[in-house]
Amino acid sequence: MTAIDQAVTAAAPAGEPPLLSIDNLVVEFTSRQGETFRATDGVGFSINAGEVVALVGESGSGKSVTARSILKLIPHPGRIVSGKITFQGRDVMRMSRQRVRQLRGQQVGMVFQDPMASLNPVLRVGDQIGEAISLHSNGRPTGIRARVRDLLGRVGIARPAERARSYPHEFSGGMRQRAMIAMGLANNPALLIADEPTTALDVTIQDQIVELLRDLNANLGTSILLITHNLALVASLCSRVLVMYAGRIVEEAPTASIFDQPQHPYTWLLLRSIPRLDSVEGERLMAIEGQPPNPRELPPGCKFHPRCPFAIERCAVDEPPLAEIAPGHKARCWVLMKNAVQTPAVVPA
Amino acid sequence: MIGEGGLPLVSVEAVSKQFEVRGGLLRKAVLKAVENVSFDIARGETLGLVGESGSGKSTLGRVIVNLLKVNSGSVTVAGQSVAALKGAARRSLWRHAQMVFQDPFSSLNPRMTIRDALAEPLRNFEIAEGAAADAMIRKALDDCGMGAQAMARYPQEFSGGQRQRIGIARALILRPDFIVADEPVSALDVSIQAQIVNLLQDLQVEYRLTYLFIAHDLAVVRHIADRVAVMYMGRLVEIAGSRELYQRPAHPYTQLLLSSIPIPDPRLEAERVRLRSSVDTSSASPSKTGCPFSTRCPRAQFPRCGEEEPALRPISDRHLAACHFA
Repeated sequence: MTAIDQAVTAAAPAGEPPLLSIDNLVVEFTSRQGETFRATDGVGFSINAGEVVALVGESGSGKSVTARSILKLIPHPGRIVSGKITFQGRDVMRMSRQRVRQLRGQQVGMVFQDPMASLNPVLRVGDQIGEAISLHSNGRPTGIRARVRDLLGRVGIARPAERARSYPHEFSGGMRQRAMIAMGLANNPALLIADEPTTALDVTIQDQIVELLRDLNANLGTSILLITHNLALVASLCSRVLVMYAGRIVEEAPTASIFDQPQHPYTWLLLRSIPRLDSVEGERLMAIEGQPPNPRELPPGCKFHPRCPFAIERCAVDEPPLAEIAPGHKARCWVLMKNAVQTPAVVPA
Repeated sequence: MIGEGGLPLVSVEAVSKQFEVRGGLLRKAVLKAVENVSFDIARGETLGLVGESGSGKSTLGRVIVNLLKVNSGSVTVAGQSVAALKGAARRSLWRHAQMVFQDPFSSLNPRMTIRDALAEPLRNFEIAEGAAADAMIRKALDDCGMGAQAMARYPQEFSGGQRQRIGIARALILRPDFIVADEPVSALDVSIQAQIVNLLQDLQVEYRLTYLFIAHDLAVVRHIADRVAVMYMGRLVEIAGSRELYQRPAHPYTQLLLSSIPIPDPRLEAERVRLRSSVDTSSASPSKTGCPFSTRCPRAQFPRCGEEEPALRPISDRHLAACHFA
């Protein structure tokens, strides 16, 4: 069995508990004026071993807060109000701080959008990666140096022994992101959380980083949670997609279904509002009217209803649940539940 | 292409722009941000300008509207040479050529109401004051999909998309012929980008505007541009009609760019053919001699590409590329 086969089959183990599961996560922020709002409200999903899952949403949708909750890294003044986070069968919410810190960097690696903000500018890149290893093991210095070289080589940095001695500013943006990924992988984590890992990078470099993540999943079986606003990245890398809007998951489906049969009106409109290299020339873009929701002033009912061209009366009053509308395909929409045949896709533009 | 023949509205000829940068202890180095770039834009046309960060595309945009001075070469807008303009005449260029920025928030004073921000150019150019100015402001905001109630409010009260509408209204209020839009949608949420692209297209039709649309997103540029220019390391490496450029890219850099864009469709994405570069392109620094792309180029032939800088030359009708082997 090749590594690639392993990764694919590992993605759906029958009866095995998921690597990570999140239930009913509620994160609240309190402003200086004492006003409280929810950044995520009732978020729940799971990731199986070897799976690459995308968490897609716009700014303020709660996707980054969700990702950071997994390692209890919610910035002040945010706090997890309720919810259950289980990683490798253990309850993260009840872990001690020290235990969570062990989890971070050991079983769970993290890569952020801006590598310059996460790398220490006065330490050599190799030493920083080495530190990530030695924090979680008591290896000998020579062994750690060899491991650093191996990691840098694995993420595609040429002449790794030499490059390990460089400082972050001597690296290009793409190389820094590779170094961050090397650090995230330092201790062979079971899960890599990548929060907008390519957003700050040029398109040619973005393509290389995406390919690197794909190879890591295929060769090492590392599970990846990719947080992004870029739907095109999702198509190339992920097997399952979670779409977030206003702190909620509004749609969840295998990648192919999200692109072929998007069900939630938000997902459907979003896919049609992006210009594509293969779209028809001169065709007007379909825009989503209105503004993204402000988490402080969410509307009643379905949070998308003020912008939704398909909204019915009920949408303004009751919030729909996230319900299975086809096997493995969930959406949070009354219109879909009332009459599953009448999907948005048949409504003329 | 919508161009109507005759003289182009904007003409960029052999423009170079350099910056002095500190090159280490007591040393000064020169950064060649724009090197010998020439092109025309016809009235009513949209020229897309693409390239990666550091390619010089934003610098070039600023040079064209005279926010930055050229070191050599010339820019002509509506028959007037931009660099020769001084004082009042230099300002009068801005009646014809305006700029829309990536982050309109940074170009709007947070202590000024939207009314004041839009009244400022009208006052500076002695066009209108008081009630007459208010009427023009209301019209410009309305053209950009904003209600008159925005006038009494401050920039920070608006979302990113609304601020960009205000930024466009501010550029539009002087009734310019030509607008340089520098990454006007890249800071916006995905669901808002299409609104702004559609708005720019509607305004172009209504006011017969000419655009230089600067962006790193090649799919957006393909959607909006009649012609596309590609920059790499300060040089113009390819320019052609939009359809021609996307269907038959001639320069290896353009080919690499186009092959790097992910397609939001899993099946097509799986079939996408990626160009391979023989080197780790994220660490390759540009060649100092010859073709600047030669260090990353999968088709480079040495020693020629490392020594002789290729000139921009016609490949086919109205399609130019700077490559020895295109």
